[in-house]
Amino acid sequence: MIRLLLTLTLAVSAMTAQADTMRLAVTTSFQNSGLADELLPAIRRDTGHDIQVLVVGTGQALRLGAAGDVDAVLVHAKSSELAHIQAGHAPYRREVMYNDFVILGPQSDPAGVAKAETAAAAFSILAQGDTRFASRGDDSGTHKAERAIWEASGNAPSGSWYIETGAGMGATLNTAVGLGAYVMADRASWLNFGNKSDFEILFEGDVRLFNQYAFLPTSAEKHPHIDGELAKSIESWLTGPTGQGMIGAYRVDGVQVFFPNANDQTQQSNHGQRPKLAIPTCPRPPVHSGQRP
Amino acid sequence: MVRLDQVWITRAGHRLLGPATVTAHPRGVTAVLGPNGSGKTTFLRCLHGLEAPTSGTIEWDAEIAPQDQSFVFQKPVLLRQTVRENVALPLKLRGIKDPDLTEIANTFELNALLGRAAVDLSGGEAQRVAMARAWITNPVLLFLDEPTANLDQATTALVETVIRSTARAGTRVFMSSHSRAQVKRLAQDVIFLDAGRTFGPYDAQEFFENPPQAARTWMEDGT
Amino acid sequence: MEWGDLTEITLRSLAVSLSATGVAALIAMPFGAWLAIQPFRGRRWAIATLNALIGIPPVVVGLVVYLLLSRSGPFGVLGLLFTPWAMILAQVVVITPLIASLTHQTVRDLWLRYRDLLVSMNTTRRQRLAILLRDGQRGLMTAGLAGFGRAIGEVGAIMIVGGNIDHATRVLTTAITLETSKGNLWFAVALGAVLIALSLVVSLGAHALSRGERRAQW
Repeated sequence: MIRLLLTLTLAVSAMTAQADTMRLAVTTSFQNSGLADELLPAIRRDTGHDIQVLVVGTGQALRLGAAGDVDAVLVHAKSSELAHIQAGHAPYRREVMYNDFVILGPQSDPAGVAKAETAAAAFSILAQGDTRFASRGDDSGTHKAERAIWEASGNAPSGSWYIETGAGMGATLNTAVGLGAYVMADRASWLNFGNKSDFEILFEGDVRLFNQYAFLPTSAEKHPHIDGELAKSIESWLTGPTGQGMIGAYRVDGVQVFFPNANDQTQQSNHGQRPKLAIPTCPRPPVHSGQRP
Repeated sequence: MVRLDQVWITRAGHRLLGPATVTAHPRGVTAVLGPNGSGKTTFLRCLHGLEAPTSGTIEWDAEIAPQDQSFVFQKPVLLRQTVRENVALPLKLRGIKDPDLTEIANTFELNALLGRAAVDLSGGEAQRVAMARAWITNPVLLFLDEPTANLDQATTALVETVIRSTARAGTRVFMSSHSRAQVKRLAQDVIFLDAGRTFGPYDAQEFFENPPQAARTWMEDGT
Repeated sequence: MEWGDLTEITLRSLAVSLSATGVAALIAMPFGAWLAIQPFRGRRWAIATLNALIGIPPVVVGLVVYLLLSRSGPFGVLGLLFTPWAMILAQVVVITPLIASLTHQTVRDLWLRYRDLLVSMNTTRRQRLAILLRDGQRGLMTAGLAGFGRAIGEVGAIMIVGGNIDHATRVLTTAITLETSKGNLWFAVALGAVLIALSLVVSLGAHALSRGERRAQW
């Protein structure tokens, strides 16, 4: 018994011992897209640092950063990020890439959102409540973006047709597919999703569906145990030519899902100031056929 | 010498023993006799310290240390281990490892059983193991609660022989028994119990020749 | 996920949950046994509390352990959050009441049978515990296996304190959650089958071991 415990202790020790390990909290959409699996080995190779990735919603990622439990976060909810910086949890944010959200539903499109002109209009159609809509309801970046569109459409979603799953992107997609409910998801997660059933992209391309990812290092000032240089080197890699190149080259089913834009703007570190535009210098929203092989 | 003064033991309002007032100078074997339910087992347990009196006092003239006493229960309690481990248990508790069990095994005819699992034994075998375990420490004071109740004739004879020689060697034995014949064969003194009340001690020979008033009805019952 | 990864997370599941079961048993078994043989005021309450704690939601345990181990928490300096150590700790908390309660039941039943004998033999409390734990080992093994089963099948607590980090804290249950969220339902089911197989192997292994060692007892 004792010997068994000792062996196990050694085994567990072997599992934990690692130098220069950085913890990065990322959102489900980044992880589920498969891009993380592509980038991590390259980061390990180029920087010599190991990255441990925690997959959580944007809300929780920011809380982990605030507590000092991760070295940096990669999230997509600008207003929350700015509040995070304002509170002193991160010195700045660095935009890395973007992708876009799409509105998904059953192929037959019973509500007819495919005919809508804008994302807000599509949501107005759904707000009539004849069909169901599955929302993340988990304070994630996707959820925040969805709420913003509801607001823009002038509807307050509530009623039995509006289902809040309180779960991650994948779980919410499973729920939506199971119930035949409309759902908003980031394109990468959707393309990588394995349980599509008869669902497809019904609406895409609105500027409101733009989804910017930013890198926020945890404040080393607040948390002395944080090695700021470690996060800095990862940031440099992500925003440098190799990282940006790999992001742009990544394909799911032959479709580009992330668009590197770390160097599109002159300066976007905005130390807590409010940006002038609600949507930063948005290049033409990516429009794809959404085809599946 | 042991003196019990107005000892009562009650549990949940029921009298198990009492009033027990006895002054005994045990020599050899003291038998505890009485009808079923008269409190024989409780009396022995009380002497051994397994039951604390609800009221009254027990005094021993010379304190006999607990490790110099052994108690053999009517229904043998054996650990789920081998016979060898069960017999050696009291010695193991005293830090003696791998004791020589040859002699005790011979005494109780356990040689063939030592390696067996205790749970596989018959009732009679288990009782012999329990006795070997009680005897192995050479106790000064030995309590036997109906030691031969579940034994066949041959084993009963064996056990009686061992009890007699042990008592002769100086161990004082308190035993309850349902068999008057057995008590006649073994005991020097008799304590009689009826409905929790103690009578005696009586000299055994005298008890059987001229039973005291309290025991007469039971003696004549023929059971 | 590749074969190497599957082996890795399976071994990690095993190492984490076996460690947790071992540590929990070292705490729970003596405690459960002590509770069975030691009368004291409020013992009923202690036992009732213990039995209530069996049903404690692992998520709550995970949350509390997270708050304790977080860099902003009291034990943050140890840097244990998001390591297998944190997962072991959380699982120990989750399964200790279960093992203690089952131990208590086993030992209490034995104690009722052995009490007179052990008191008569003038045993110390230590000796009593040793004898009861040894003789109750079949029941204790069941208790340990029940604890292990709950530990290895648990996901709520270790997801929070372990973080499901690839090559660091990912185990079978968190991998199942992840694959489900990716919509890879059949793969998730396959991982579930591995989990069940693992529990079965451990259970059979424990039974075989105990039979080999102590054939004389049963």
